[in-house]
Amino acid sequence: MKNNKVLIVDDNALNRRVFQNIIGQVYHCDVAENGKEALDKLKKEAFDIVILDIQMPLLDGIHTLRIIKEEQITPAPIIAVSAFANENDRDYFLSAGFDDFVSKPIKPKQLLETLQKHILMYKSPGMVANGERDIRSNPEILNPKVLLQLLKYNTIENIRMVYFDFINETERLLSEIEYQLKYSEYEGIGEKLHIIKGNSGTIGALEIFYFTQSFERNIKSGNFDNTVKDYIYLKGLFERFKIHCKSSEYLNP
Amino acid sequence: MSPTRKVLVAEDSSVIINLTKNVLMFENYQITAVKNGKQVLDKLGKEDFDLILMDINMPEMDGIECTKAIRALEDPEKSVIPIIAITGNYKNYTLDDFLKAGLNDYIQKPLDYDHLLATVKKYLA
Repeated sequence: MKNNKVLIVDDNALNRRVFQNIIGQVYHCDVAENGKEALDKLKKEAFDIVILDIQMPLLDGIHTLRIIKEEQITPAPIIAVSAFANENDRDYFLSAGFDDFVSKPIKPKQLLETLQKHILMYKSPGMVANGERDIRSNPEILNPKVLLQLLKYNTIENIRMVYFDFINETERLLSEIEYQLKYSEYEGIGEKLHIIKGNSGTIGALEIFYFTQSFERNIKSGNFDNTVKDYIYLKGLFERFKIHCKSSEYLNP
Repeated sequence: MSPTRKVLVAEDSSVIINLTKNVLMFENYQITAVKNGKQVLDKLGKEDFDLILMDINMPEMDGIECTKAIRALEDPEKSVIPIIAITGNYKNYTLDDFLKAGLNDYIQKPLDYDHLLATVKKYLA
């Protein structure tokens, strides 16, 4: 998380301090006192997200945003903050070109969730671009597109709960399958695989989803030659998924 | 402000229940969740709902049987409640089977929540 950089633009020193206290625990941050200073900093340095106050002297938030967009100064998401607006004004800010809006007084949890969501969306297309195809950058283990879609409707906190729920449920189902394997109750195994298939696909654990799909097909068509082997392989995929969740920066902010 | 719409979600996986709850709460729907077809009939006997999201593959009483039982209810309002199937199609039911059982629509697993929300909205409009 610390490798993400936030630019805070606010003319009020006390507000800047409040932002820094909240955001500094999670991200690197830098500050600017007005739109002009913000533009200078953005031209010199890359930031992952910008928090832009609307009411500022010299160059206000709306005009600063306009210049950023016109001159293509940064592609980073830009969040509007204002004390003179409420949630109903969100549409106005979005139509003006902001990526999101947060009202003052700032609620720390809401602010951090908003930042996290937009940094995640901003960075996800390049997730695989770091060259290493290691466990963290394999989109098939946990597909970022699916995760982003879920984040439209869920807070990070909810999403984390759902993933840990999935892990618990799958763990239980796998141990039930192991028991059924011992007693050759293949029909029951198909039902368990069916639940794992639906859940893994829905939460974006695509590697598990694809494999369970073919495993279930074998069971349904009465082909039990590879059932033990398939089960062991599925367990391996699941272990990998668990490790991935533990190390995923999105699920462990 | 229109009155809050009540949605009954029948699904035996807590993962899907949690996600679906969050998505529907996003639209201010009021959600009740149950885990099998029998519980659906119990709940529906005691409360009114505007829509049911029903997993087909459930223990005790599956979604098809449960839908047939609801359509056979004597209460004229409860027997026509919109029911949307959630299905991974384990038992090889066809769309025709769904329609014959009295389901209004179906959504396929893995769930696409944009699609789920759009489908629910269509029936609660």
